[in-house]
Amino acid sequence: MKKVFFFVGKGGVGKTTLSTSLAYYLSRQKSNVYFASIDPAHNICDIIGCPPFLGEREIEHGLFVEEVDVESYLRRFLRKIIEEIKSTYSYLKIINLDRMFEVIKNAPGMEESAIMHGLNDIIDRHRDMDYIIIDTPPTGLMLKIFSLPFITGTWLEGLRDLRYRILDRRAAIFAIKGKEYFGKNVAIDKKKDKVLKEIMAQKALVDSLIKTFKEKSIFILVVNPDRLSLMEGIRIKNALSNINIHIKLILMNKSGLLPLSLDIKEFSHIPIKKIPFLENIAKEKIYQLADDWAKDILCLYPEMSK
Amino acid sequence: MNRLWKALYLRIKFLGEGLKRRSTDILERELEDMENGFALLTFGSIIGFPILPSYIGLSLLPYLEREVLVMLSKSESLDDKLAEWADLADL
Amino acid sequence: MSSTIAIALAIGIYFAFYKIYGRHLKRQVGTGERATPAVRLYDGIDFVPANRYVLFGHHFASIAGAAPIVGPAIALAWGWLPALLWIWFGNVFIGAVHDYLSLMGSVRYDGHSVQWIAGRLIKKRTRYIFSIFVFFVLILLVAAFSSVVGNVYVAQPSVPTTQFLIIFSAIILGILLYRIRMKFYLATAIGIFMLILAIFLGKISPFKASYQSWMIIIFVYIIIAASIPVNVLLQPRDYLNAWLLIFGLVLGGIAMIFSFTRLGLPAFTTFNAKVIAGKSTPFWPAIPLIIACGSLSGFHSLVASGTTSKQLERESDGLFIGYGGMLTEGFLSTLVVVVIAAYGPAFLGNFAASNYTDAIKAVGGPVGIFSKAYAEAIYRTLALPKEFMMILAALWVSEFAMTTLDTTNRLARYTLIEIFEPLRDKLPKFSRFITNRWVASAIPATLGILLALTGAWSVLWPAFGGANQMLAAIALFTAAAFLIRIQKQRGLNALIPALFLWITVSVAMIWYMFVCVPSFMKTSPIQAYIIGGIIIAMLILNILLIYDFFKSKG
Repeated sequence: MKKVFFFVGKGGVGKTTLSTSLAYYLSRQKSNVYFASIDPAHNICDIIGCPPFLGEREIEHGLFVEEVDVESYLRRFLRKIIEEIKSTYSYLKIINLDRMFEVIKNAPGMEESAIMHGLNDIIDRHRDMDYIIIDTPPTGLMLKIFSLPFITGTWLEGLRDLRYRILDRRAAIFAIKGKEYFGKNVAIDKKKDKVLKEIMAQKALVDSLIKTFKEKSIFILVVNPDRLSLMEGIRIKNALSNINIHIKLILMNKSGLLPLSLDIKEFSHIPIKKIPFLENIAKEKIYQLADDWAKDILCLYPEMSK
Repeated sequence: MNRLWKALYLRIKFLGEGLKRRSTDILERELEDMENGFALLTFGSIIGFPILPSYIGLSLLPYLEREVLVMLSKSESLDDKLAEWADLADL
Repeated sequence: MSSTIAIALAIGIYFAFYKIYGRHLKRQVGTGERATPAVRLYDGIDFVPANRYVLFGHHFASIAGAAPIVGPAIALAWGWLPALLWIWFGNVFIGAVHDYLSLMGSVRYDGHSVQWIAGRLIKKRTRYIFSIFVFFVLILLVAAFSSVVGNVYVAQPSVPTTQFLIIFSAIILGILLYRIRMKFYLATAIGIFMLILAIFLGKISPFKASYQSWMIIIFVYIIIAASIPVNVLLQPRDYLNAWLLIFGLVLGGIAMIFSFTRLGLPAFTTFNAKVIAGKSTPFWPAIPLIIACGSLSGFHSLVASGTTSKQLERESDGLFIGYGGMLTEGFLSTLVVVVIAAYGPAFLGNFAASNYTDAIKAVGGPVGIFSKAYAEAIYRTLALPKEFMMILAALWVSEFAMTTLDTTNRLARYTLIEIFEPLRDKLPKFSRFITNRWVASAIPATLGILLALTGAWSVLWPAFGGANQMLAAIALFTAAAFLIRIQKQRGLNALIPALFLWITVSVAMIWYMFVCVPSFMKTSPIQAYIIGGIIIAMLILNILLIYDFFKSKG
C-alpha cells in the first residue's frame, strides 16, 4: 500500500465529492483503490448515485467502496466483552449485560473509539491495495477520532507501567505467601496476564495507526471561499499540527461562488488548488474534478507514480 | 505427652505464619492501593470520571475481577482509613 | 523479693484474671454464635478469617514496640512495687479491658474502627477529637522517641553504628526476599545473621556524635524514609524487628525465670519521686503518663479495631487476642521492671532514693539502664557476652522506635486529611496545602524534633503518654457507650475505668501544665510554648469529650 489519503474539512464543503473524484481518478489510472467513509452520515452513495448501503462493495474493477458500519463494530466489540466476562468472572455473577450495554454504547468516547478501530481495521485489511482514501466526518468528530490514538497511547503506557508494578509486587508476595493467598484467576506472571496482553494489543493498534499517520498519509483539507469554512480550516490545521499531523494540500472547492482573496498566513506554505463551482456534474465526469490537482499530488510525492 | 508436643508444634507453626505476615503486610496494603487505583483508572469513565475512553476500560473489564473486588472493598471503608494505617505503625 | 518470684507472681496474676475477669467480660459482650465480620463480610481482601495464633502474633507484634520498655524504666523512680502494681492491675482492669472491648466493639460494628464507632455512638465531633489527639500523639511521639533514642546514641555509641548497619541489612534482606525471591527461611536466616553481624561490628566501631547532631540526623531520616518505597527499607526492617522482639523476649523470659536474684532497687521510694521535669511527681495521677504500653495505651484501640477485628475468626477468639495480647505486653513490661530492679543497682552507684531519674541520666536514660541491666541479667543466667546483649537490648528499643518514626509520616497525612475534611470547602487552599504529603509529614517531624532538641525526655515522654491515654479514654467511653446502650448492660467494667482514666489524665495534665511547663520555660521557652499549647488544646478537647459523652447518653 502506497498511501492513505484523508479528506478533512467543515461539514458540507465537498469532502465526499472530492474524495470520490480522487478515487475514480486513481482507479482510472489503473491503481487498486479502496475508498471508505468513516462519517456516520454516510453519503458516498449520494455522489456515486446508488442506493444507500453499508459495508463493502466493488464499484468498478479495482475500485472498492465501503460505508463503515460503526454500529456493527461496536456491537461486535461489546458482544466479545460480554462473552469474556461471563467466562472469566467466577465470583461476581453478572446477569443480563445486554441491557447495560445498550446504555454504555452511548457513553462518551465509545463512538469515536469504535470508528478508530474501524479505521485501523480498514487499513489493516487492505494493505494489498495501492491507495486507500478516507472520507472523514465533520470537524468535531474527526478531531476526536484522530487525536484518540495519541491520547490512548499515553494512557496505555501509564496503565502498562502500573500493571508491571502490580504484577511485580504480587510476585514478591506470592513468593513468600504461596499460591493460596491470591486465589485462582489472579495473574502474577507477566507472560500470562491477560490484562497486560490486552493493554499491549491495544497499544500495538494505536502505535500502528500513529505510524500510518506519520509515514503513509496525506491529509487534504477542503475549504470553501467563505469566511466560516476558512476559519474552521485554520482550526483544523492547528489542531492536527498539535498531534503532529500536517496538511499537505488545500482544496478550495466551489471557488468563484464568492469573491474572496486568499491571503491566509496559516496556509502560506501549503499548496492550494482551486476547484470551480459546478452546477451539475454527471457521475461519469466526477473524476474530472480531480484532473487538475491529483496530478500535482502525484508529482509532489513522486514515489507514488507507477 | 505426644499431644502436648503436637499442640506446641502447631502453636509455633502458626506463630511462624504470623511472622511471615510481618514480612509482607505493608506490601500487601500497598498492592491493594495500586489495584484500587488501577480499577479506578480503568473504570473511572464508566462511573463518571472523564478520564479514559470507556473502550479500553471495557476491553480490560473481563480480566479485572480481583481489582474490582479490591475497589469495592476499599470504597466501603473510605471513611475509616486511619485505623488501617495505625495497625502498621508499631507503637 | 526474688526476681523469679516476681515473674511467677506476674504470670499467676495475669493467668487468674484472664480466666476469671475475662469470663465476666465475655458475658458482658455476649459472645455467642454470631458470625464475625471476617466470615459474614468475607471479601478475600480485608475481611479474611485468620487462625487465632497467627492473629495473636500479628496483633502482639503490632502493639509491642519501644514504649513497653521505656515507660517502666522511667517509672522505677517510684520504686518497683508501685510500678509493678500499675503494670499488673492497671493492665488487668483498664488496659486489657480497653484492648478487648475496642476489638469486640469493632467486631460488632462490621470491623469499623473505634474512631468511627465513637462518631456514631457518642457525637459526630468525637471522631474529630480523636483525630486531633492522634495528631498530637504523633508530634509528641516523634519528640519522645527521638530524645530517648538520641540519649542512647550518646551514651552507647555502638548502637548507632549497629542501627546504621541494620539499615543496610534490611535493604539487602528486602532485595533477597522481594526481588530475587529467595526461599523465605533461607533469606530469614541470612537476615538474622546480618543482624548478629551488625551487632558485632557495632561493638568494634562505635560512632560518636553530639546529641544535637543525632536529632538532625533523625529528622533527615524521617523525611527521607517517607519517600523510599516500602519494600526497600520499611517492610524488611519491620520483619527483622519481629525477630529482635522474639529473641529479646525469649532470652529475657528464660533468664529471669531462672534468675532468683534479689530486687536491689527500693520497692517503694516515695510517693512524690522526681520523675517529670525533675519535679516531685505524685505517683497518682502521673503513672499512666509514664507507663502507657505495657499497662494501658490508647493507640492499641486503633490497632485492635484496624485490621485485627476484620480478621477475627470467632468471637470467642477475641479474649485471647485482645485481652491476652495486652497481658502479654504487660508481661514484657514486668520483665523490664524486674530486670532493672534486680540488676540495675550495680550501675547506679550510690544514689539517694529520690534521685533515680538523675542516676539513670548518667547511664543513657531509660534505655541505657535497661540495656545494661538486661545484659547483666543474661550474662549471669545464660552466660552470653555482655557487650553483645547490651547492644541487643538497646536495639530492641531504638529499632522499634525508628520504624515507628517511619510510619508517623503516613499517619500524619491521613490524620490531617480527616481533621481538615469539614473545612475543605470553606478553606480549599489551606486544606490542600496542609494535606500535601510533604507538608503533612514535615509538621510532626519538625515540631517533634524541635521539641526533642531539648533532650528533656523526662518532660516529653509524659506528654506523649498523656495524649496517648486521652485516646484510651475516648476508646473506653466508646466501649462503655457500647455496653450500656447496645448491650443494655450496666457497663461498669468500661465506665469506671473510663472515668478513672479521664479524671487521672486531666488532673495529671493540669498538674503538668502548672508545675512542669513553667520550669521547662526557663530552659527552653519555645518548646515550652509548643508543649504548653498542645496540653491546653488537649485539656479543652478533654472537657468537650466528657460533656459529649454524658449529653449523648440516653
